[in-house]
Amino acid sequence: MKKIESPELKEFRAEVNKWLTDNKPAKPSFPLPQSFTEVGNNDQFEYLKAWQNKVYEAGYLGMAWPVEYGGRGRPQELQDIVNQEMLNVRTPLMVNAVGLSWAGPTIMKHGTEEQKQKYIKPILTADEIWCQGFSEPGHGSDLGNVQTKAVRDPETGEYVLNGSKIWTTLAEQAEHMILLARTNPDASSKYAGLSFFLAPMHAKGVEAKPIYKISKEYGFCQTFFDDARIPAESLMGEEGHGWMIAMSVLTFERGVTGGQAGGNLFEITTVRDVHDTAVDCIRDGKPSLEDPVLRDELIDLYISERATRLSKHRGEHSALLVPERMHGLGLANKLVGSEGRQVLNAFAVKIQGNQAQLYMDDENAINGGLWQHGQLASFAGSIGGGTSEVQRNIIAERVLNLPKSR
Amino acid sequence: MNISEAPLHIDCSEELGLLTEAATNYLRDKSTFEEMRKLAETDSGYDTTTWQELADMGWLGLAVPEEFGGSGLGIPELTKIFELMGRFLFSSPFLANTLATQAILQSNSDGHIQDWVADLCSGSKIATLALTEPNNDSWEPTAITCTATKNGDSYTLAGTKNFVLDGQNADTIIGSFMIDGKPALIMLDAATTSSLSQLPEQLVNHARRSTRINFDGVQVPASAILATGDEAVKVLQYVFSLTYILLSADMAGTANGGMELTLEYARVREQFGKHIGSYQAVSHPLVNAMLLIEDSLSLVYYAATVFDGTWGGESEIAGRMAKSRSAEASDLIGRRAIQSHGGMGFTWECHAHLFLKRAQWGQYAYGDPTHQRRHLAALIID
Ligand SMILES: Cc1cc2nc3c(=O)[nH]c(=O)nc-3n(C[C@H](O)[C@H](O)[C@H](O)COP(=O)(O)OP(=O)(O)OC[C@H]3O[C@@H](n4cnc5c(N)ncnc54)[C@H](O)[C@@H]3O)c2cc1C
Repeated sequence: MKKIESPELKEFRAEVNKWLTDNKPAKPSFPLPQSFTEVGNNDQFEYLKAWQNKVYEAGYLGMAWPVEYGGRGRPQELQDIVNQEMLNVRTPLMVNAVGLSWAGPTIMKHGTEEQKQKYIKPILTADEIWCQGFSEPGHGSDLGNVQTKAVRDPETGEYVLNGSKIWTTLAEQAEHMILLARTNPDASSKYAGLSFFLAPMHAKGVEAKPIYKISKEYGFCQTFFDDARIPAESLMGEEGHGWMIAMSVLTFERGVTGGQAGGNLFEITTVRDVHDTAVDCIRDGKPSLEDPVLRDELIDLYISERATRLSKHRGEHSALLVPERMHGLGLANKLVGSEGRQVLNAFAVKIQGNQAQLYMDDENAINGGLWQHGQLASFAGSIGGGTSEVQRNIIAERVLNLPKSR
Repeated sequence: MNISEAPLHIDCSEELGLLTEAATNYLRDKSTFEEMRKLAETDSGYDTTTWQELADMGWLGLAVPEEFGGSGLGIPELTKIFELMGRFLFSSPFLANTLATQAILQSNSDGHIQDWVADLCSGSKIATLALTEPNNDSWEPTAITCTATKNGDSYTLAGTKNFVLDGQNADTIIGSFMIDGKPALIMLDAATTSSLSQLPEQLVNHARRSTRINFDGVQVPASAILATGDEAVKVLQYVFSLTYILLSADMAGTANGGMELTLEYARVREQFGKHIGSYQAVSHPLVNAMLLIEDSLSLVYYAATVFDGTWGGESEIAGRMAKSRSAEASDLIGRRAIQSHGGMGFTWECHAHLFLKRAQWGQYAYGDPTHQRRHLAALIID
């Protein structure tokens, strides 16, 4: 079973490659974010929004989503090809990441017909940006314990929100939030009291206050709810089903389940990029790439990068999976990806030797100090979306079948 | 940077799926801890009845064309068998015999192929390779100091080889020697092989058998030469690249076996009123080991997919990458297996050490991770 791309797919790949190359927007005067969690100012936002819209209009986003909601009703393998070519051509990232990759698929899976009609198309066009209101100041990893209250007004059917969410990426730009809130504080378990909302961000009593990130740029917010009233239709599923839907969101977010609209959410950096920086680097008076210890590390990173990519291909053949953990690869995606990026960035700083001390705004910084920035930014991956420690707990329990750590 | 831009892929035939099921069942049944511990105490280290069963199932000639008495399957299928043998700690001269058979086939020496290959596939004869030397302790195929000197119609051998896998079980030995400064492969006939004085080696994996052999003064006819010069180098490179894959598969399988043993214990052993597997200091390193094993398997089957036995390109690169990562995976889980069993793990009776020992042997045979990455750096970076 040699997998060879059919002539039609090859042709499609070439067509996509050409379109992306021809239409890739010119580099702006300001630095672009390397991930959607780093959209820190309006220039970046508008630039990226225009690009997502253009990609959608060209038919290259939401390709496998149904036509009646704004998708293109085509096979997933075409969208996969587009995604790959976006990385190859190195086009800018998709700014409506939360919408495209987790809110959207969640609505497609759990939403009503009306909700699909209303929300899906503007997600694809980037006209309506989404954010995610899960974490709270008091509860992050212990997501099941969130305390933001949603109380149903028996007269109007509206829900009244009080409390606060935090680390809300894109909250300032967002039109809607996927929100996990407590409708029943007296439920039989902490999970049973939770409900899931598709909440408007522009309701009275909702306020997003930006927070400086580690890099002193904006990107996430604290979102406050002060007697904010949201319509009855904001509820997704039934009251008390919030935890189940939130878990479904996380499988999309962590790449365990497919169904995302497509497009890249990060700028991908590869070992080749690090190597290209390394050729100009000097450590302790000698070219960094002549140092046997650094060579060894670079090759180890290369082996990891290849292995991660190859695991996707091995995943297609059940005979090549370990029978005791057929689903292990999918659950490990997020951990492997985020930690891989972290060690790669750290190494790209290390090879700079004495110059590694410089940061972004220094005119002498190697490669504009992007690796130094990337090294800091890489913690977004190992903390956001569930920390690496929590990912290891999940793998230990669900893949290795070990008893719960809590 | 010299990185292949060809789209990545991994092949998996329908036969491989069927073989996996059959081989898993067979090896789980045959290769119990008790049985393997018993065999480890014997001189030969393997069971002749089982060996005949392997032949009958077509495994001894799995990747040998049918016209020469084999099963006509490919390297990926062979790789799967090695993975499963590692998984169940199976011991036999399978690696030695497989590599020697492939060396003969690659030499294109019709006479030797006719004389030997069918017998090696049917289990009636066993062959092995004598490649590395205590003289230089090199892991590279052409670092040969043993010599064969022409002496009338015959050749006189000199020098010592070590780690001759299953030397004591072999009916024929194929060694690498220098003839007039050029590498050559020489195949000893049964009579010469049985007259050699072989010194059994004590390996860290006590289930394995190998010998050290001094060839000084051994006479062989010119017809013993399998390949010389560039031809011999090609065969050696082919054999080494294949070994990287097969040993990597063995180590990845061994790692999976060690993982299962450790998980079973971590799920039932209780301390401080909780199962030890619920402690993250126990579970998280096992997750790390699992990620290394998954990497290893992906690299192993990729290497099997792109294998062509040549040196300098993606086939060599893939094999060395697999060897580097699999060695680390099996080493880590071997250590965690012992540590996670506590005092029990330090005993001979506990099976945990069997996995670390097999991993250690596989790691240091044919080049450890540091060695592989040094060669990869030359291939990829420069
Ligand atoms: C860049 C970025 C963007 C984000 N965007 C969003 C967003 O859009 N929406 C949103 O809702 N949230 C977002 N988050 C929040 C993120 O999901 C949380 O920060 C994360 O889940 C951790 O929660 P916490 O911050 O409360 O840390 P804590 O849960 O307090 O964790 C602190 C430390 O304790 C460790 N720890 C906690 N519990 C365990 C355990 N059981 N076992 C072992 N170790 C444990 C953690 O791993 C961590 O190292 C974002 C975070 C970042 C960094």
